[in-house]
Amino acid sequence: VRAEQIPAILACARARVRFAQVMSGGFGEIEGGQALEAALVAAAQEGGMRLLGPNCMGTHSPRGRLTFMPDAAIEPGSTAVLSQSGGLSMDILRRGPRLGLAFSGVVSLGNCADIGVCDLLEYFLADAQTRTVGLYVESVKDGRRLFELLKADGAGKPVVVLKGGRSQQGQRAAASHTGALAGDDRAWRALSKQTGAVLVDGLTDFLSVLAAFQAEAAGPPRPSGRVVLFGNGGGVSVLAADTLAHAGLNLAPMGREALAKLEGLALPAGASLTNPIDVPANALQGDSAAAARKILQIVAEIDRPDAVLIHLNLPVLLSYRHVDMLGNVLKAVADLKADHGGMIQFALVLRSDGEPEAERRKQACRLDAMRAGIPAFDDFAEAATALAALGFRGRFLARPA
Amino acid sequence: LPVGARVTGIETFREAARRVRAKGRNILSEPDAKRVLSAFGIAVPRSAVVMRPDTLGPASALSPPLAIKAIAPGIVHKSDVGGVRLAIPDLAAAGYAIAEMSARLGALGHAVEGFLIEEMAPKGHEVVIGSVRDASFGPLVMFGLGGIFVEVLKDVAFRICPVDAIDAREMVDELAGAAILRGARGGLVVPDKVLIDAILAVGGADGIVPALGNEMAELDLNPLIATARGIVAVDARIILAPDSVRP
Repeated sequence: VRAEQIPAILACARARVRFAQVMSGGFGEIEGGQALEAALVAAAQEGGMRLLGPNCMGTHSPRGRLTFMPDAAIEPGSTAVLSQSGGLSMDILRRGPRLGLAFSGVVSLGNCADIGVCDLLEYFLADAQTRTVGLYVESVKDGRRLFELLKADGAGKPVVVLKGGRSQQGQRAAASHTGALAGDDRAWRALSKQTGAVLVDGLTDFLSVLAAFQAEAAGPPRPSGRVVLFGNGGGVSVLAADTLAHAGLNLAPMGREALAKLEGLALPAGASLTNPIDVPANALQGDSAAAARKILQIVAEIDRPDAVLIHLNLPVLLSYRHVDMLGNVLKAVADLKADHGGMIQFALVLRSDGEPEAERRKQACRLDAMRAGIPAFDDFAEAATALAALGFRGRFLARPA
Repeated sequence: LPVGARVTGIETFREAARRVRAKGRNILSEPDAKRVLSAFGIAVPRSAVVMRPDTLGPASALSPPLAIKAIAPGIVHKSDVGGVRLAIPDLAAAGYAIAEMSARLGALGHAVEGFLIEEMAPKGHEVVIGSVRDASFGPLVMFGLGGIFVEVLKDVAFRICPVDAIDAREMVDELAGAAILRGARGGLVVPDKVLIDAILAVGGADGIVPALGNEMAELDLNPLIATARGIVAVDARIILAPDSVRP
């Protein structure tokens, strides 16, 4: 329906319609479209309905069996996403399920002529099915209300904010030093620090952090962020340690008792047992990857870090054809998660070379792991961002009252 | 904050704002801004305002060394045009300094409304506290180290008002230069509580920013001198909101 025809249609609803999603563009987002948008809002009021949009994709609601993307995954979940970009909301619906995200709702907000970010955030913070909320926002008219909503929630639910346009300094005519220093980014960073909402850069980080929160919903968030890194590959472990440290995570070495126990396992030469723990793949093949299980058990029971990040080089593991090394290691991780998940976060990095077999196994393992509450990432940067986000929220919740 | 201080602070501000607006301006003079701060419990140097070099009577109770600043609304950066003199040893020297400053600014065509004579603040760390209204989030409060740290390195922390003591402590922690305030390399130690109290006096629930609400657009306390004993605002700028947003 063309934009200019819509107000008349809404106005004659006589309260028989509760919500209208207006997908059409040509309202406030274009030069000279503001009057038509005002007419649209007035018509929605006259017709007795609330208005989503205009210029939006609308609502994806697995529970309501409603979507705006024909082939979208409709498995209902606990993650809600609000987006001020329609295109990005489609990207989220496409990429999210591949990471194991399952949605309670994805709403494309468009111009927010009537229903805004805060209205739906308030709804999802109260919604019993929703445990994590993600926001993609470009401009929020009522930042004050957003701040107060998040503050009142006290980080009860994890909220992840992807703010577009943070690099713009804003057209502030400032007469003071303070005014000149107060760019848009400063206010959003303040919001994050005062409410515990996690501020991320870019869509990949947004999805990674949402996946981590969805997976970890059962476990308590841990404040300090000490991580033990375990996997196969020496150089990769060194680089991974750098990436984690750069994200503010702590890779303090293993305690003496845990280290003694690990040494007692008599692993083959080439294994490195401090933190990171680096074991050659061939050490993991025997006895249903019993070595991996024993190592992780010692880490979880004696060293007790906040998080254990397990990284696996898929092409190498898959090259051992006689045994399902990958499956066995992941089974060990899932069992440990079941035993210690309340105290320790487990996360995976599944490294693929892009060949079809590795990609296929990666995807299957990732979805299995997510179902077991273990987020699985393509690379260390995403894992580091996600673990740092969990630590940030944990520290916020541990702030003195 | 003593009982009644808030009302007194708001009244002091509104009275000064009326006078400034009547002259068609939107920035309080430095003495007015400091009166407002003082009414809100933020320490300022002991001071006197004099009109001429030969009428220094009001300044006779001040303890040297003294600072002298021209009160001249048209001048944005007073020190750039010789409108500030520091470390004046006594009243006689103050008289000479004022006469010289008066002649110099007059020759440059600046209208001078008087001279602010202040006791010099003790040695300490320079910090800045400010506030600005964000179009979406409302008032923000800023804290940072003064001088080169704010001007060049922009080492400052912002929060949305009102802040509590935990927020204020985190603002101090957030500065790259926090260690300097805590006495790095044998320097002067400023207890966190001094800084937290100052941040709260501006951006806390009972601070100057929530109290003045929409009537104040921007606030700059730059610098404040922080010592172990407390904090003193040695320069202050209060910018009024445009008439349209006054309640």
